Amino acid sequence: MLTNNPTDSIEELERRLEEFRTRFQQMRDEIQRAIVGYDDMIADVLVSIFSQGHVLLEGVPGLGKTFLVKVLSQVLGLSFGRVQCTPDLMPADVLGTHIVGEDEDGRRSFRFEKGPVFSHLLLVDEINRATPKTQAALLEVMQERNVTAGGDRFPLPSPFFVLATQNPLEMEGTYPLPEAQLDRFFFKLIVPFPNAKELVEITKRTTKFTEPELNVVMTGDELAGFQELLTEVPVADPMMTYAAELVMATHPEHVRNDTDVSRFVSYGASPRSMQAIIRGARGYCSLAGRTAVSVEDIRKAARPAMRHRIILNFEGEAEQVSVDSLVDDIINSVPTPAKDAA
Amino acid sequence: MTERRFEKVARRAVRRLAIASTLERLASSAVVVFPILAVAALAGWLFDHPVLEVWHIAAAAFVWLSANIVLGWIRRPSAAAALAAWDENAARDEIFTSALCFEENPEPSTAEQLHLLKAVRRLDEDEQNLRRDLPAHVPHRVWILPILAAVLVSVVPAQTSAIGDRVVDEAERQRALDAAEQLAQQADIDHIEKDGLDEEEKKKLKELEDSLQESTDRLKELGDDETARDVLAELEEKAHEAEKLADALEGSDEGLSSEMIAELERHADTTEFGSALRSEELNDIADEATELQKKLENKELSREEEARFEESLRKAMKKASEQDKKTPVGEELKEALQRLTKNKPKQAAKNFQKIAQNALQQQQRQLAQQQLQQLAKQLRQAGQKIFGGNQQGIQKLAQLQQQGLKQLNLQNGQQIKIAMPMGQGQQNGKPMALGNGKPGNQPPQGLTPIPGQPGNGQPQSIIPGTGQGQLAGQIPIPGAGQTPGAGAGQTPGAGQGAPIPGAGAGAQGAGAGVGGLQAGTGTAGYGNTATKPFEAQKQGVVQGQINAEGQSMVRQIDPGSHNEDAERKYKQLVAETLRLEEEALADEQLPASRRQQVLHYLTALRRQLVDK
Repeated sequence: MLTNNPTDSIEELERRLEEFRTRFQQMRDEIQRAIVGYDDMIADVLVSIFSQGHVLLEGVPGLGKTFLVKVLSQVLGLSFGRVQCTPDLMPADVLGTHIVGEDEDGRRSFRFEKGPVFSHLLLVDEINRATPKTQAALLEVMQERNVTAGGDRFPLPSPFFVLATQNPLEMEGTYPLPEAQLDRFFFKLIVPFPNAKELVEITKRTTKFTEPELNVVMTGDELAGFQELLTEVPVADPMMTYAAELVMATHPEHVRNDTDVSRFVSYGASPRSMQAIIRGARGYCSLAGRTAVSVEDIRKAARPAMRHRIILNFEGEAEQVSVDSLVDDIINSVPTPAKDAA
Repeated sequence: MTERRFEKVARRAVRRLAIASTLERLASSAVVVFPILAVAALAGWLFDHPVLEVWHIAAAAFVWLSANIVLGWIRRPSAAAALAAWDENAARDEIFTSALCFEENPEPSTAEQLHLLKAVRRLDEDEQNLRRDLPAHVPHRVWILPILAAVLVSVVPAQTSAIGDRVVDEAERQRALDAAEQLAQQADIDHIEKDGLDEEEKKKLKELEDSLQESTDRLKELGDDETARDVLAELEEKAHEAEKLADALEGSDEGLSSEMIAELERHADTTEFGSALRSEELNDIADEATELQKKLENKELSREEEARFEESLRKAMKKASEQDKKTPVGEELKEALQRLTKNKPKQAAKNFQKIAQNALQQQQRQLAQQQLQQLAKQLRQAGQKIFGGNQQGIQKLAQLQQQGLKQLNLQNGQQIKIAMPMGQGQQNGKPMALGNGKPGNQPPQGLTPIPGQPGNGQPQSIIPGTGQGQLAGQIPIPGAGQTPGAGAGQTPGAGQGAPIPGAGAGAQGAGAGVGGLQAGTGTAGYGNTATKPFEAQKQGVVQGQINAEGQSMVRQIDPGSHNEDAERKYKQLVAETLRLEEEALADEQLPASRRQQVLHYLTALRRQLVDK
C-alpha cells in the first residue's frame, strides 16, 4: 500500500506513477462494465476525483448521471450519501441536526445527528432544485470539508467529494446556482447524449433482471495516496504562465475590445479556475505517462475548469452565446510558449 | 546531473530560430526591396543620376541586409520559447521546455529529477534533429530576384564604364568641335525671353550663359586625356542647370475656383473675363483684363454700369473661397471691388491693368521656361552627336530626353504655332520662318523661334509639313494651319506666311508641292488635356446673345418660398404677390427716389387689399 509520504526516490516515484496509471485504467474498465460510453467524461470525473475536486454534471434527464455517481462509489469502495434536492429541502436535511436523546443514564441531552453529507461520496441530485438557503449550506461543506452546527465542528470523512447533477432544460421552479457556489466545483462536465450504438448497448444491459456486480478497485486510502502523488507532478513556469494567460483572457477588461469576450462576458474565470486547470492538468499529464505538465494537458483541463466560472453579460445571454465556444476561442487565440518564439 | 545541457541546446535553438526568422523576413521583404533596387539600378544606368549610382544601391542593399540581421537578433526568442518551438515541431509535449526550467532549479524535487532524467535520454536521441525540426531556409524562387539584380548591377556598370572611361578619339574630337560651334551659334541665351524674369533670375541666366560659353570653348579644344564620360558629364551638367532654371520659372498653378469663375461668367460685364480665366489662356486673360480696364477708365462710364460692375464683382467675391482670395487675381479683384465701392472706377481699372500685366509676365516666364528646356535638349543632343556612333551606355540618356513637339499659344499669333528648331537663316536672334518652299532647306537644330514676340515685329508662323526636312521625331499636326489633302499648300509669296487652311492646289506657291504631308501620313497627338467635367450647379446660366440690338443681360432671380395650396384666399395671394414684388424690387438697380416711389405704391396696395 502506498504511503502518504512524499516520494523520496526517482525509481519509487516512477513506480507509483506507473501504478497510478494501471489502477486508473482498472477503475475505468470496471466503471465501463456498468456505464456504456462516456469514455472522456468518466476520465474527467476520475481526474477530478484524483485532483480532490467536486464535480458538477449537467445533462438532460435519463442520461445516467446519478447512476454514474452510484457506480463510482461502488468501484471506489467509498461510503455514499445522496441528497435529492427539492424546493422544501432544508439545510438541516443535508448537514444534520441536533436532536434530543437519552444517554445510558437516562439523562436527556442534545446530540448531533449527522446528515447525508457525512460520507465519502455525496451525490447532490438536481442541485438547482434546492433553494439558495440549502445550496449555501453546501458551501462550507465543499470548501472546508467540515460541518459547523451548534458551535461544534464536525469534520467530514476523507476523501470527500460532491458530485452534483443539474438539468439544464427544466428551469421552472429551479434556483440557478450562484457564482460562489459554482466556483467551488472543480470541473463542470456536460453529459452528452449517447450515440445509437451506445444506446443499443445501454438498453441491452439495463433491461436485464440483474445489474452487474462491480468490484471495488481502489480503497479510500489508496485514493488519498494517489491524490497526494499527483500534487508532486511538476509544472514548469512557461506552462504556469500559459495557464494564467488563459484565465486572464476570459476577463473582458484584459482583452481587446473587439473580441467576443469583451462583448459577451461579464466576469471572467476566478483564481480557483487556475488552480483547477493546473491540478487537472497534472492528472491528465500522469495519465498520459508524462512527467511534466504540457500545453496539451492545460488545454484539456481548461474547458471543464473554466466553463462554469465565466459569467455572461446580458448581451451574451440574449445572444445565447455558448461558453464552451468562448473557451475554445480563448484556447485557440492565446499564444502557447512555442508561439512566443515565432 | 545534466550539466546544463538544456541551456546549451536552448542557445542553439535560439540561434537557429533567429536565423530562420531573419531569412524569412529577408525573403518576404526581398519581394519589395529587390525590384526597387533593380529599378533604381536601371534608372541610374539610364539617366546617370548621381544618387542612383551602383555603390549607392549596393549600400542600400547592405543596409537592408544588416537591418534585417540586427532586427532578427534583437527579436530572437527566449531560451524557453525556443525550446518550446522545438518541442512543438518535434511533437514532444514541451519535455525540453520543462526540463530547461527544472534544470535551473538548484534543488529540484524528485519529480523534477525524474523528468530531467527522461528528458536527457530524449535529448540524446533528438539533439541531432535540431536542424531538421527548426528549418532555416527560404523558398528558392526568392533568390531569383537577387541573382537577377546582381547580374544587372554587375553587367550594366561594366558596359557603361567601358564607354564612359574611353579617351575621346579624333573623330569624336572633330564632332565635338562641330557641336561646339553649332551650340555657340544656336544656343544663344540672348534670345531667351527675359522680360518676365526678376533680377535674381536674370543673374542666374547670365551665369548659365557664361558657364555655357566655357563649355563650348572646352569642347572646341578637348584635351588628350578627356574621356567620353567627362564630356557627357559636362554637357549633362549644363543641361541640368538649364532645366533647374526652367523649373524655377515654373509659375504657380493657383487658379480661381470653378464657383468663382462661374459667378464671373454669369454677369454680362465679366463673362468674357471669366471664360478667359476658365480657359487658363494667359493671353486671353490679359486681353480681357485690358478690356475691363479700358471699360472702367472710359469717361462715359455711367453710374448704373459702374454699379452693375460692382455688383458683379461683389457676387463673384461672395463665391470666392479663402484660397481664391489669396491668389494674385483674387487679391486684385478684391481690391478692385473695394475701389468700386468707393466710386473709384479708375483706381479699379488699375487692378485689372495689373492682372493683365501679371498674365503677360507669366506668359513670358513660360516662354523663357520652354526656351531653357529646349536649350537643355540641345545640350544633350550635342552629346549624342559627338558620341553618335555608340548606341549603348551613357549616350542613351540624351536620346531618352528627346521630346516631341510642343504647342505654343503665343501672345500675338491667334493660330496654333509649333515650336521647332531654328532655321538656318536665323541671324542675330531673328527667328526665320520655315517652309519657304525651297527643297532641301532643312532646319537644323536650334533654339525655338517664337514668332510674334513683342518687339520683333515679324509675324512668322511655323507650319509643320511645309518645306522639307523635318526633324525626326517632330510630328506635324494636321489641321494646324494645313488642310490634309491640300498638299503643302502655301499662299503665294514664297511661303512667307501661313498657308490658308483649306486652300486648294491653285493657291500653291512656288516651290510648293514637294514638302508637306499627304493626307493620312504621319500621326498627331490628341493632346493630354482632359476635358473639364461639367459641374452641376444649382442654377443654370443663359448667356445673352450679342446682336445688333446691343448687349443684353441676364438677371437671375432666386425663387422665393410660397404656398402650393390649391385654394387660397385672395388676401393671402395678394400678400404673397406683394412680398415677391418687394423682394424683386430690392434687386433692381433703381435710383433711390424711384425705389421709394414704387415701395409707396406697393404699400398702398397692401393696405387696400390685405390690411383692410
